[in-house]
Amino acid sequence: MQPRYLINSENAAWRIVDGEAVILSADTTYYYSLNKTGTLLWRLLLEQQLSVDELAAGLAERFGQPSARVAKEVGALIELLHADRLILEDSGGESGATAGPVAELVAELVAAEGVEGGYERPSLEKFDTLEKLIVSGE
Amino acid sequence: MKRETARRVGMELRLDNSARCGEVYFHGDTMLPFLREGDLLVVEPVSWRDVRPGEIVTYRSGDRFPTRRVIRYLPRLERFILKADGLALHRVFRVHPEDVLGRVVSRKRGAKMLTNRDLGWRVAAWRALLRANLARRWRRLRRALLGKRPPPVDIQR
Repeated sequence: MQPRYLINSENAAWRIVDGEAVILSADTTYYYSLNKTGTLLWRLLLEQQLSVDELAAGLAERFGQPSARVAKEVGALIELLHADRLILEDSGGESGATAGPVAELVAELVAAEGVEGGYERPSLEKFDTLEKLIVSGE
Repeated sequence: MKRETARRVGMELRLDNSARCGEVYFHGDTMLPFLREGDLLVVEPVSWRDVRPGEIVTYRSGDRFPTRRVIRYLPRLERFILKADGLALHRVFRVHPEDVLGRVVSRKRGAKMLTNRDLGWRVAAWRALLRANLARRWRRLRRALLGKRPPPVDIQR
């Protein structure tokens, strides 16, 4: 059984700009950006707790991509997000949902958010820490 | 996404989350005596509709976050009028409501902490507003008595 994941909203603060998410880790003050497919995964995890297989199956079905490749790429992204505590494993949840509803959810999100373009390898870019932020009267 | 865009949004998120990420540093001497270089501030996100005269807000101006006191809101122009406590009274800053990112709710200076619920904070706000309003009335009176136009208000963003 694969674990399901959820957004760690205690640590992560985010904003979506032009279909791409910028995420801040409150613990470390590092900030990150997700590309469009990565942001779609983030939105899916906001909607419901899902496993790598569920996410990958949903994307593969919606975008007509080979599921093995998508699973590998989604797994890599989930690993990065999890390593930096931006998402958490849901200890109580277990994978069991079928790809169908997730694919429908992907389609709904794509339609509702006007996500353009097709599938691209989901990626996370990690930037600097923003520990010392300066505001000024100048 | 461009690196600069990600950084700007990241900084805004950092500012909005200063209560949990840690305070932000205040730089400069334009808000003296209330804010000094090195003061640590907590800024909380706020809807512009909830901003009140006398409050100190941080707003977006390019890649900077100026922090100044709200004097009033001009509904017709849809702009806040802000001033810096330590600058000449005729220097005002017009800010679009959508650029307001948050209001300053606490100030830490050394071991001393002051919050916007404390009397000292409210007195400082009241004094700044009184000073700004008296200056405004003086300008009007002077214009009425002398028939002279006062020096132009120095409006900046």
